[in-house]
Amino acid sequence: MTRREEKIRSIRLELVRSGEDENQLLSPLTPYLALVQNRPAEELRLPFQHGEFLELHRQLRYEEGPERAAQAAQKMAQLLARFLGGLKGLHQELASSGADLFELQLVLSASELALLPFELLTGSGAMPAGASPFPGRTLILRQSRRQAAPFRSWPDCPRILLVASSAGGVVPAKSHLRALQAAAELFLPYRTDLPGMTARQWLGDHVEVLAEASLHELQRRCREGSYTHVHLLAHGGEEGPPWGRRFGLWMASTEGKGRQLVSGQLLADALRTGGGLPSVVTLASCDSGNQGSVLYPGGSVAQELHQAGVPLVVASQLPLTFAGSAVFTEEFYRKILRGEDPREAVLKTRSALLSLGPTGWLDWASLVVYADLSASFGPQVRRAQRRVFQRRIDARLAWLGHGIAGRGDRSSLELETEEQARSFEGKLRQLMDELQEGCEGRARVEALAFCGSAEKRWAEALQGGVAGASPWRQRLRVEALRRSRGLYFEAFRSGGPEVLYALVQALVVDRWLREQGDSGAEELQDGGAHARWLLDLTPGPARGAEWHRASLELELLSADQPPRARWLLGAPGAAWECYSLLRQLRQRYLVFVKGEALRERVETLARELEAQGVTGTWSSGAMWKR
Amino acid sequence: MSGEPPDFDVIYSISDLHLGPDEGLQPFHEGPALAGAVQGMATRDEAARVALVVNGDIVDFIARDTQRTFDPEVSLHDLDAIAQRFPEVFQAWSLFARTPGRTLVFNLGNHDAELGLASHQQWLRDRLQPATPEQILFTFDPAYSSAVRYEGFLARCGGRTVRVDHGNEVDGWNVIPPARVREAGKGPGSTLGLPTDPINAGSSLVVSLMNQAKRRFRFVDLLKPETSGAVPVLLALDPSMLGEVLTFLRLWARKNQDDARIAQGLLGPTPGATEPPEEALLRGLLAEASAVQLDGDALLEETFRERSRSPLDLATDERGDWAQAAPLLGGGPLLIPGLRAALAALNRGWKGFRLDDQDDTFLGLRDRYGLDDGVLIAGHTHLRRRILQGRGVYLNTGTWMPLIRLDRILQDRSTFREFYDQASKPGLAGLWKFCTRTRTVARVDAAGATLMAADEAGNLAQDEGGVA
Repeated sequence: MTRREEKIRSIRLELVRSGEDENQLLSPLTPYLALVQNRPAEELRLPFQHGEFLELHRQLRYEEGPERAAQAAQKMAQLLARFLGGLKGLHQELASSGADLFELQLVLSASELALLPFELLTGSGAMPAGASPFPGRTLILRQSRRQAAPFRSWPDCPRILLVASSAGGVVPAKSHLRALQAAAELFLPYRTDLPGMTARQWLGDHVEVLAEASLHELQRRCREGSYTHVHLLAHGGEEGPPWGRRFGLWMASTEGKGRQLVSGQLLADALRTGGGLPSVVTLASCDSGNQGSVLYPGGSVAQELHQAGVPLVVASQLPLTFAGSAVFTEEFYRKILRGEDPREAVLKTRSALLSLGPTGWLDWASLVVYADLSASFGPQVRRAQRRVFQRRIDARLAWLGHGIAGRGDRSSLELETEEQARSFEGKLRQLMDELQEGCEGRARVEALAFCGSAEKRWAEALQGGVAGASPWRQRLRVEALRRSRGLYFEAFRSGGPEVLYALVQALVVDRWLREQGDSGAEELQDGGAHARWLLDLTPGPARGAEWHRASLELELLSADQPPRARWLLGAPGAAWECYSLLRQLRQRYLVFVKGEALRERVETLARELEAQGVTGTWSSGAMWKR
Repeated sequence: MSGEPPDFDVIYSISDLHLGPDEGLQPFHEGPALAGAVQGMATRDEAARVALVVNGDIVDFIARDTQRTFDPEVSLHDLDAIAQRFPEVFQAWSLFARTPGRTLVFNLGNHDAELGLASHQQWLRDRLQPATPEQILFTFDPAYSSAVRYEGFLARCGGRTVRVDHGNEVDGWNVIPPARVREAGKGPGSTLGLPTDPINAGSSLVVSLMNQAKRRFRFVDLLKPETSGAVPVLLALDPSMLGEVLTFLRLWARKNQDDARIAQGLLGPTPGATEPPEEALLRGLLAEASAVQLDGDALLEETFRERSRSPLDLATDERGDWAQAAPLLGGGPLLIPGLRAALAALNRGWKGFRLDDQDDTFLGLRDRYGLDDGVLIAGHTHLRRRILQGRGVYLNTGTWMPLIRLDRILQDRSTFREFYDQASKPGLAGLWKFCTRTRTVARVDAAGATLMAADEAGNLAQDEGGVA
């Protein structure tokens, strides 16, 4: 178990009563049963009446201004603390673990309980530290008894759709788009100051906007492409008679004129048009997490989306301020796109909203999360985290020259002084350290090999530009290649024959270093023979493109004759390996190798690949592997 | 009167003069031009049978300090005041009505519904002294309207049917209950009595809210017709009017409920009726006013250019000049838009100055009466229109009042600032540069139906459709 796994402790608290889910008011007369983990059931009763709640809720919704809302928040928090504070099982669960983040899975089936803003008990916004039954770092994940939608895979490469609608009034669309752009910048391979750069080129398909959409248009967009995250920015509204009001989001009418109030179910139907639902939906809209009437079946927009299959929904159970919505979007997306656990991200977002002070009113308490995280969620997040770091490293390296991602002309980042280069290298290595942090087993091997590749690409970048021949560049280049060789070899030592390619790459980089006048690595003296032996052990049917590539490069280094690429060209999955090999030949071998014989063999092999249609451009966006 | 519509060689129509009794509250300043134009109509085409239809909102009985939207007594005194303020206009009408072969036709609008009363008709006859009684025709005279079975003016000209309708009957906010006005016009003994007050939402809006605002911001008088779009403007000018606006909306919603209930023959509350949703209605109006049409591509590029700014910083900018410190994404206190946003919403509703734009009034009237090969002439919107459909022609004669050019005011922030400075000053003189004047006359004859424009002396020429 890694350090990250130990931080989060999940506790399930289910509150049930007899009867149908709907059509009951909050009342001290109603007995509820609390089921905490597998502890004995406990009975509890509300310390207030429905009417008292409605009055406080009205005030929480700022109907008497922000000051009364703050007072109502304190009063409500005290009442809820009395309600849950007596649960021995919950107290024992919270006390029994040293975790520093508690994930309280709050399972509510009774509609009237879904009305209650339990989130007031988290953080210190409504009650002093120690007065809440929950520790300071507690996140409430709301769930329903009906199985919702567990994550299949936490996304590691964002494709975000911002749906902005001013059908209910002006919305801070620029602010939200800026927040999403800022969060996605980590992944973007382009610098913004390139001549002629447009927003669309810059963002690629990481962030898209759908403005003034109707449900029809949202359906059409979702049919054209699938999104990992959908962020809805719209005014919330309510409809129905006073005793049966329901909240929704104002969007353009599907009939082309006017507007319509859209429910969670309708939204889910539209989002599902492409076949699947996004992993994350965030609702920057007042009352999108507001249960509304308890008389009839149904829930808030957020709850309906979650029940329809969206694994994680973040919404607002109270009115949301412009400022708070901007901070919510900025903080939450910045954190999750950096690879943080979304539970941590929500906690930090809540803190950021709390620190907004009066400007954010009760936005900190308004955030409500619907999610059903299975036991596999932690590993999913960690896997995604690693990929996020890899993508961030890729993006940074792509900044050095767009040719590196195969997307056009090279345009080198300013690396004219050693100081600039050292600064860039420092950031790159920090990302590599973070990628390797906490990795074990197969994940560690992959991370080491990836970092070996990144160092190789960094060395390549240092070769280019007007200052390419300067002594400091030569020094940095050799240092990068040494690190690359060490990382590849470490990957092989940790992963064994399964990552034979890492040994071959270590041998290749070792050869380049020796060509530069550097001494070879002792541990690789017999590496070539060892690799050949391991390659020969692989049975014929298991020899895929990766095997052929490794074999080719070994031959290139050792044989007198240029190797032939035909086996590689015919192997399954050869496209990537051919592209990668050609780039390696043209932009590394021919740059780092001085010996004529080897250069000639490299040139011959490169020409053979090119004659077969292999190019140095990779357009599928596939990730660098090594 | 026979059931056949009268036949004319030439029909002229003008509308929306808004001659008002209160010097401080009405902006009509075209007396000499109007008089000149009417004199020309009286004397030109000497042998022809000519009708001049003064097509509603001729005078403006609610452009004064009043809490009533239909006031038979005061409006009669107002007619005296108006005649004193614009003697040349009444003299010209009188000349027209005394010229052989001429018929002066009065049609009702939503600002002058009292003209439907018998007392007011008599006042006009006494004042204008037609050569023969038939030379003044009131379309709301039951003898005429029941004969032609039409609420406006219906005639034949050049072999075509010509309908002249003010246009408020297809504007939900400004419908006048015609049966009631007609019945009231019968004088003492009428079974239905006088129209109830408020007579409609638009008039009620004027007397309860707009007239207050006009005292401080004269340009409000130029914002016509009075519909829901004006509410956000009023609140933007003076957010303290929120309570009065809600009261207005509540009263209006209740009145509508009452009318529906009466129509159903119920004495108690309508089954299933809820409280008047005035706040929801106002939220909708304000939301509409504050909305801006978002453009995804423009947003992407703008945000790309402004990427050095933080989201919070941008959000502060985007909240605009709200009355509240912390605008909310729905719920909470009502979000009142800035004046610029409210005027922009009003401008969107007007759909610009294109002569062939098929606005709601055109669509409403066309759907109600059809166009076929006839001519349909309206007013009310204050926006000129000339729309050809098949062999049919629709004309809207706009207004003789200065027409505020919201598009011009809203073109950039500095122009808006200048407008706001001028609008805050007493009087309207500083606002003329933001207005356009169109002295429009519709003319129908055997050659066709067209819009004419009068110059300052009242000489008519073909209207080329330009806007000053």
